[in-house]
Amino acid sequence: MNSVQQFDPATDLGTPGVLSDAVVNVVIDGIEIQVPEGTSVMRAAAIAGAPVPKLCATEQLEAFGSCRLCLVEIEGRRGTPAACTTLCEPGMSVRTQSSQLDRLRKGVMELYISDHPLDCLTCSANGDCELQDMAGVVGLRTVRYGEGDNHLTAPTDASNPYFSFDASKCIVCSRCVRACDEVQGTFALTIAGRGFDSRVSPSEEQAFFDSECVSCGACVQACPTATLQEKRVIDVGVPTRQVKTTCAYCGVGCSFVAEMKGNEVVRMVPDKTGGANAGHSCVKGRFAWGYASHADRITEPMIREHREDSWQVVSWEQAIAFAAERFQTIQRVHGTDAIGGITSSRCTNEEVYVVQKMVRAAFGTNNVDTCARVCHSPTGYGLKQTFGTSAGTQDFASIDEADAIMVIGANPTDAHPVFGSRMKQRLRQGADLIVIDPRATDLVRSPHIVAKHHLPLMPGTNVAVLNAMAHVVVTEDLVADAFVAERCDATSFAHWKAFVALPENSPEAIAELAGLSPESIRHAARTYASAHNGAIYYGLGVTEHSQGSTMVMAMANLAMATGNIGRRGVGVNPLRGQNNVQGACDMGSFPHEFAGYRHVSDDSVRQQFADIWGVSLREDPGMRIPNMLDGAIAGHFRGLYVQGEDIAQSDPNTHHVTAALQAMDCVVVQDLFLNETAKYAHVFLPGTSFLEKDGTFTNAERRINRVRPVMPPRSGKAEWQVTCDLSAAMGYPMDYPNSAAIMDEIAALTPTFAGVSFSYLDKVGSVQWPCNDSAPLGTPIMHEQRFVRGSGQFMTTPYVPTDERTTRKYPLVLTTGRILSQYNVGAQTRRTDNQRWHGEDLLDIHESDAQLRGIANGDWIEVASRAGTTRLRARISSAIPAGVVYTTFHHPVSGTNVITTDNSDWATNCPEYKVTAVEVRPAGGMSP
Amino acid sequence: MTAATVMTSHRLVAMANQIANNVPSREGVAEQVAHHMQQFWTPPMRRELQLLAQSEPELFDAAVLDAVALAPV
Ligand code: SF4
Ligand code: SF4
Ligand code: SF4
Ligand code: FES
Repeated sequence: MNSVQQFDPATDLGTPGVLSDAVVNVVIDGIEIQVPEGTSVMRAAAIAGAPVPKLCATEQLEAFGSCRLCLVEIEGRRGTPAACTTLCEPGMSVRTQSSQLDRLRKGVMELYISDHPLDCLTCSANGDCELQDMAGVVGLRTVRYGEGDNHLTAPTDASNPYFSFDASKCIVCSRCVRACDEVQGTFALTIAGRGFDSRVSPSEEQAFFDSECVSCGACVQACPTATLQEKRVIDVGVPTRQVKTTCAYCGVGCSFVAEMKGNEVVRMVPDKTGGANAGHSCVKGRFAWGYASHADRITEPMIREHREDSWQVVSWEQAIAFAAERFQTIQRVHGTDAIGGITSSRCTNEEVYVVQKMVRAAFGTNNVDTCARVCHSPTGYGLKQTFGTSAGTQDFASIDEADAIMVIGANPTDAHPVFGSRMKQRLRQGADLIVIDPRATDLVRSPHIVAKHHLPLMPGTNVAVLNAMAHVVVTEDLVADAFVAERCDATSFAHWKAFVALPENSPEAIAELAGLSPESIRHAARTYASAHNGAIYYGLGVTEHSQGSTMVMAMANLAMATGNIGRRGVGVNPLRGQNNVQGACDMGSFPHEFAGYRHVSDDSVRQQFADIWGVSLREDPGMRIPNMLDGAIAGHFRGLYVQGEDIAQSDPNTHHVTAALQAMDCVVVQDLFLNETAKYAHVFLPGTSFLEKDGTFTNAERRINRVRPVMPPRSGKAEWQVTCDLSAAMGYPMDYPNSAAIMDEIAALTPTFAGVSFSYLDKVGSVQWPCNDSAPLGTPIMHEQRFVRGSGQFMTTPYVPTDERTTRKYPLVLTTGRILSQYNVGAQTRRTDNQRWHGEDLLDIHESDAQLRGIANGDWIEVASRAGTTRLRARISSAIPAGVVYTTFHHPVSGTNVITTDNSDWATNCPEYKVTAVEVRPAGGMSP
Repeated sequence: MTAATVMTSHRLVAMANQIANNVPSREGVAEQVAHHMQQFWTPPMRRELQLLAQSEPELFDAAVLDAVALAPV
């Protein structure tokens, strides 16, 4: 493992960096330096190599000036100002050391230490405590104050599963409170009491676990003492080495420093140099990695003749030979196209690339698809048609310049928490917020944020509402004419304009259908269109509909018409669900495309791949996941390789999926756990957790980040090696010395990745594709001068209601979503203490619908759709409108996908998870 | 044909009809559907649709029947 670096905590410069073109010259202890205007004396001093002692300051937070330890002397000024709250001024001359300063600082430290337990040697933070460091820095040797009033017996709150709060060690510096406010935006902490009685308090003097705290850990990271500390550090001790890597949960793709003791992870600390997260994290990435060493993990290959048999542990060679023989037999009897593979967004780019290569080159078919089929395939389709490439347009930092933020069908504070926090920072600075979502998500009203417009539309009416907003834009003269004339295709614009201007697309015409008032649509449209910078962020509430692709195009149209594309602060941005959805799509996982979104029928592209891969390749598109499942039921598709995905739980209409899996002769599952799909498998190939992977993930902003192994693979083999072995056994050897060589091949074959290599990423940290000769440093903002496809293409977007209609039998609309503490089907988070926040899926139902059916809070209820029936407990909620019910799908026992149907997006077959007509009735008794 | 094959065949027709209903422009619907199937459907799926267009045309939207005639397999 050559990527392991030695432990070297990065310097904290004390106050945040400032972006300014103007600079000021200052002299610090005789050293002249130049800093951007607005820089604090503390930061300048640290840069000059003369760091000032500090306790209440850290560069993640705005200066606060409460501890008085950072006093300095400034020539020509009286007194000793605090370095953290004093800004550099031209010509300023600062002294950081003098006998007066020594005396003052010692006095401050003495006061702190006199009310602090002196158990440093046995304290869990020994060696990792700023209070201890500062006592050393100021040379404190004695404490003159005797036993007086103190807090040494204050209690410890250990209610949070991951960190504890030992009040006896608190110096009331407020860093935790400010981290919760400024960085996380939850405002869960306050300083209660005054003077000697002041103390940190979660919410209204509650325990952490019972408070509003979302366990992001920002306060733990900010705490300079052992007061707020990870329980792991208390149990295991301070780390001895560190490795930079990337979170494997959501599409934000936070960078972390894995702090290790030997091969054991002590804690994960968000990396402040991380391009996506700048030192912040959520409860999943920071704390919920224990699943990687969970007892349920399978680390040896297993096979079985029939799926009714029990599993037999075998050697890697036997497992590979068994799988290869079965696949070959199927192909001999039923034809080349009778088998296929599914790649996973949880795997690295390199792992995904070799699976799709195996399918195309070794299996000889284009029957490869990816789990993005069920989440963001409409994004790929819609953005390619309009802008010319299948990816979000901005980097996350772009939101810092947005003036109106429109969030459609997304719940970033739960599903993309670190980006959600960043969005909240911008909203607290005053940007307008428009939320288009059936539910009143947390964003709609949270501390210091109120959405200017919330449009709680009926699920399934997205396109009608966006068309109505576009109607307002074109009929109220809000079109950015110059942008459209210069950057967009005139003919398609004229068609689109005429289409959305039709009276049937007016807010008044669709208001009743959408369950909204026409005025609310008009106001929202005006806010977005007239903002200097309007930005759209969207999630699965856009894509997982029968018109998912149409809706993506409708948003792209609106952004082009209002000139909100091609610069910072604007754009159309998918919030990707899984960590590597973007990457899995980029890597050629779709049956019709090679890496870099190039169609298999393009002769010159196909020839390039054929030359480097040394095989001839098929020019016709292969099957998508639903086609494979249908093919299995019809009898002509009989073998499937499933990489790190649980289609039996995550895909819609479970009965249909399991019937298809049951009809196959060979199902190979590569995963960490025996998941639901593995119940139908013949071969189980143990996978690797992100802590064992060596590769790259690409996040929602196209940022390619390194994933570095912190420990050897528990199964003894990297996943890509296993795929290569199977490919070789199928007659097509793929030889790579390491995963870096796989990326080299990707770069050689994919123009947008041409400049990417492990060594380059190790040098620069991360890069956003396209990264090639014309953009060697990557591309944070796309379509700046011109659209990838040339001129922007407007697409008309007629509203077509879904076939999934409510009826007297199924009068309610079920929509689904996710929550902060759990991730997707929960395979990982259910195997951590995150389970304590969300131990079961509940069905949210509006009070009036509940009353009508005699349902009370907490009752077991039966939810029935045309596809099936399941049982859940009810929660009465005012966050959803009457007529709509809502649930999550994190637990297999809830069987949420037993009730979702086969309906899907017209263009991509992305399932319509967000709209299912259901009836709900009291079930009585317990869930079966 | 087994019940399962009938069901999956009918799903193909439903998918094709849905495409015809949703393609962006109301002009040249058949061409758009044919192009879409060319881009995203496997040749066996297109062949099967062609056979169904002959055996059960009543299940088809008119534009899909036209598209089937246009799309080479
Ligand atoms: S808990 Fe830590 S960060 Fe918070 S006030 Fe106490 S010492 Fe400061
Ligand atoms: S863990 Fe996060 S949300 Fe909880 S109190 Fe600390 S900063 Fe606030
Ligand atoms: S926001 Fe996403 S990427 Fe970041 S720590 Fe949380 S789950 Fe991981
Ligand atoms: S660090 Fe400046 S006052 Fe605390």
